[in-house]
Amino acid sequence: MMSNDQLYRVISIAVLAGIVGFCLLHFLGAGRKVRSAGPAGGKADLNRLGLIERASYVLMALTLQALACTGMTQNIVTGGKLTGWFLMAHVGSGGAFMFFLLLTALLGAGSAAGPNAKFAPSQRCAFWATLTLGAATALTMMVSMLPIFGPYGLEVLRDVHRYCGLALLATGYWHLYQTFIVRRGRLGWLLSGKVSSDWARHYCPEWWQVAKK
Amino acid sequence: MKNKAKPAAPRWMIFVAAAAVALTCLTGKAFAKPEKQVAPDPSRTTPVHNIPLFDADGEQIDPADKEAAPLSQKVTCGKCHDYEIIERGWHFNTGDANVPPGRPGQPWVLADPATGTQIPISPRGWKGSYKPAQIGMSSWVFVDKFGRQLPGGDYGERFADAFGDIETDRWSATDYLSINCLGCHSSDFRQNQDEWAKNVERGNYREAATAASGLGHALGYVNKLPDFDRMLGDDADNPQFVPSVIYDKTRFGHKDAVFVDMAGAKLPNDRCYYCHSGHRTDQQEFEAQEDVHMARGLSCVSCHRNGIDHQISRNYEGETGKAAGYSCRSCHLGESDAMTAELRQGGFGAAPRPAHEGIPQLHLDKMTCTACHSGPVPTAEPKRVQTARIHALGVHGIPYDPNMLPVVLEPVFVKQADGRIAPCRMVFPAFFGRIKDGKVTPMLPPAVLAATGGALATAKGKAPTAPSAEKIADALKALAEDNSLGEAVYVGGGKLWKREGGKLAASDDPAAEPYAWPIAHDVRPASQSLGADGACTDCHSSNSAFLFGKVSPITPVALGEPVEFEMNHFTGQDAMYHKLFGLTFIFRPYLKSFGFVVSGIVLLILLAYGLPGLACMLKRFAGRASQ
Repeated sequence: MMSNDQLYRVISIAVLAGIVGFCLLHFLGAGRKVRSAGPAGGKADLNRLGLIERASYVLMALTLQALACTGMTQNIVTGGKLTGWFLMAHVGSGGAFMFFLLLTALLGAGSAAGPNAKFAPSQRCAFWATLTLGAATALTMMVSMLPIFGPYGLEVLRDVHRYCGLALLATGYWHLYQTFIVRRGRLGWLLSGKVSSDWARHYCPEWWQVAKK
Repeated sequence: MKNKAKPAAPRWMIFVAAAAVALTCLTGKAFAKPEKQVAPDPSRTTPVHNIPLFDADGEQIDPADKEAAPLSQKVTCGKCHDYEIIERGWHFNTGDANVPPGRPGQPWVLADPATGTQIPISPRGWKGSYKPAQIGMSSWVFVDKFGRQLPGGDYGERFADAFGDIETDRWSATDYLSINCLGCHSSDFRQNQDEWAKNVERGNYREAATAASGLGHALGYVNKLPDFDRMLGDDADNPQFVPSVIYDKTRFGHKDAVFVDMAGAKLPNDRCYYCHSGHRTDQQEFEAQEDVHMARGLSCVSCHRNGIDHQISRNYEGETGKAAGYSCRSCHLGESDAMTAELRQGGFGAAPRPAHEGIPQLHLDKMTCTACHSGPVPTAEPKRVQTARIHALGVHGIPYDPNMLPVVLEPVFVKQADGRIAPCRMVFPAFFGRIKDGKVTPMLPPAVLAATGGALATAKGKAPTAPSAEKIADALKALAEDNSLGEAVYVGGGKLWKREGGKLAASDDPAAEPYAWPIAHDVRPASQSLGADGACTDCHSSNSAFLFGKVSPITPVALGEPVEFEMNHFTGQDAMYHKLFGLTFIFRPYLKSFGFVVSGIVLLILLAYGLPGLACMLKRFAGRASQ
C-alpha cells in the first residue's frame, strides 16, 4: 500500500504536469486567440500598481516558488519526507512568504473587491484563492508547531498543509500563465507600474471607467 | 406388540474389544501421566513442588548419607520438564551457531589492569566483540572466568567439548556446569547466587547449584587441586579441598521430599537482577530511580516472556521468535504485524497509549522508543555505569570499587543496524594484540605477561595497576621479538598503537572502535522523557547532550592527546546542520507568533470581504430567481 508520502509524490507530479499541460492546451486553443485579440501597445499613462504592491507581488511569487522547490524536490526525487537542509530552507522561505502574503492581502484586498475592482475577474479569483490557500497552508503549519496534536494529527496537518500548498502553487502557475502569456504587455507594467488606456479598456473595463476619470 | 430382541454381539467381538482396552491400559500411553511435561500446566496457580531430589546418577538424595552426592537439577527438574528443550533456550544457546545473534547485547568484558586489557567478548559474535575461540579462550576458561553469572548449560555443558582445549580444560575435575534452574525459578529467600559464584570460582561446578539453593552447603576447592579427577575420587595430599556437600536435614520431610519454593513463570525480579542490573557510579543506591514499569507493579517477566522452550523475548523491535512482540511499541501503540490481536491493538498489560503531542512521526521512525524514554537523562558527558556481569556486582569477595575497569558509558546515542538511533552503553576496547593482514587479534593477559617478561610487572605486594605509556612501549618492544603471528600492537583510547622509532604512533583501526549495545532500562516516567511537554530543545539546540554530548574513549591507559567524540559521530548526523537547526529553535516562538498573526489578519480580510461578497452574490441570485 502506498504511503502518504508516495501518494503525495504521485499527486504532486500529476498536478504540476497537469497544470503545465493544461496551460499548453489552453494556449493552443483559446489562449492564443485571446492574446492576439489584445491591444498591441500604446502609451502607458494609467497608474495601476505602486512600487510596494509590485514588489510584494513579485516577492510573494518568488518565495512561493522557493517553497515549492524546497518543499517538493526531496519528495519528488526520493519519495521521502521533507528533512535536513531542504526543511530548513523551506521554513525560512515560509517566513518570507507569510510576510509578503500579508502585505499583498493588505495592499490588494481593496483592488480585488467591489463593483469597480482594479483586478479583472480571473485575477480576483486568483487573489482570493491565494489568500485562502496561503492562510490555510500557513495556519496548518503553525498549529502543528504547538504541542497539541500527536503524530497522527500532525501527519493530517502536514497533509493538509502540503495539499493546500500544492493547490496554491497550481493557482499561482495558472495565474502567471493567464497574466504573462495570455495577456500582452504585463512585463512592462510590472516594471513601470503603468498601463495604457487600451490595455485597461480591454482587460479591466470596470476599472478603466474609474481610472480614466 | 413385543419388541424384537436385539441380536447379541458375537462373543469374539467382545473378546477383541476387551483385549484392545487391556492392551491400551498396559502400554500406558492413554492413561499414564506423561513422564516429561513438555507443555507447562496451564493453571495460573504455581504448582507446589514438594519433591524428591536426585543426584546426577538418578539416585534419590538421602540427607543423612554423609557421602550424598550434590543435587542435580538436570535430573531432578528433568523428571517433569524436558531439559533437552530447555537447554536450547536463549540463556543457554550462545554456543549454537545456528541461532541468529539478534540485536547486539551486553558483552562479557575480560578486564585486567596489569596488562591494560578490556576485551568485549560474546559467544554470539556481535560486531565489535570477540568470540572466546577467536582470542584463544576455551569453553572451560570462559566458564572459569564468567561462570559466576552464567546460568549453566551452554559453554558449561552442551558446548563444553565443542569449544574445548585439552591443554587448559579441567572438566574432569570441575565437572560440567549444568543449568541452575533454581537460579531463576526459585522464590525462596534462601536462594543465594553468591554461593553459586563462589563455588564456580572454586571450580566446584557440580556442587554450585546445591550450595546456591540453600539445601546444602558445599565444601572443597577444586581449583586448588591441580591433579584432581572426579572419576578417581579423593586427593590424598589435600583432602580438605576435595568437594562434597552437607545437606540441611531440616529441609527434608516425609520420604526425603523437599519443599522447593518455586516461582514458576512468575519469577521475582531479584532472580534476574543478579545478572541483569547496573548502577551509575555517580549515584548512591538511594538516589537511583526504579524503572517506571516496576514502579507500576510489573516485573521483568511481565514483558520478557517465554514458553517451556525458554526462548525468552528480548523485546526489541524486529525480534523474531515465539514470544517476540512484547516491545514498547506493541504494548503502548500496537503493531500491525504483531503475533496476537491484543498486541496488534495495543494497550497490552494496561499499557497507556501515549499522546506524543507535538512529536512528528519522523521521530518515531528514526529513533527507538528508548531514545527518549530510557536510561539516564543525557548530560554533557555520558555517565559511567557498572553492570552486574561486567563488573561482577553482587559477587561477594570481589570488593566494590567505583573505579573498577572497564569504564562503561551511558547513554551514548548510536545508530543501529536498522537505521534507528538508540541509547547505548559503550565500552572502548583495550588490549595487546597482533595485527596480520590488517586484522587485529587480541592477546589474553597471561600470554601478554608471559611474552613481555617483566615489562608489565607489578611491584610485589601491590595491587596491579594499569601500565604507563612507557611500559606499553616496552611491552610492545618485547612482543616484537617474535612477530611470526603478526606485528605487536596495543589498542586503547580509541586508537591503534604501534611502536615506531622507539615511540608510540597512533592510527585509526576498526579494532579500536567502541562496542555499543542498546539499553532499554530503566524506563523513565513520561514526564522525564526527552521532548516532554513540547520541549523540542531537549535535543534541538546547539549544545544539546543528545547531539553534542562529549564521549571520551576512556581505557585503562591514557596514551597521547585525549580524544573526544561528539554524540553525532555515533548517530551519523550532520553536526553543522544540527547546530544551525538548533539555533532556529531560538526564533521559532517568534515565527509561530508571526505566523498566527499573519494567518489571523488574512482570515479577517477574507471574512471582511468574503461575507459582503457572499451577501451580494446571494442577492443577485435571489434577484434572478424572482425575475
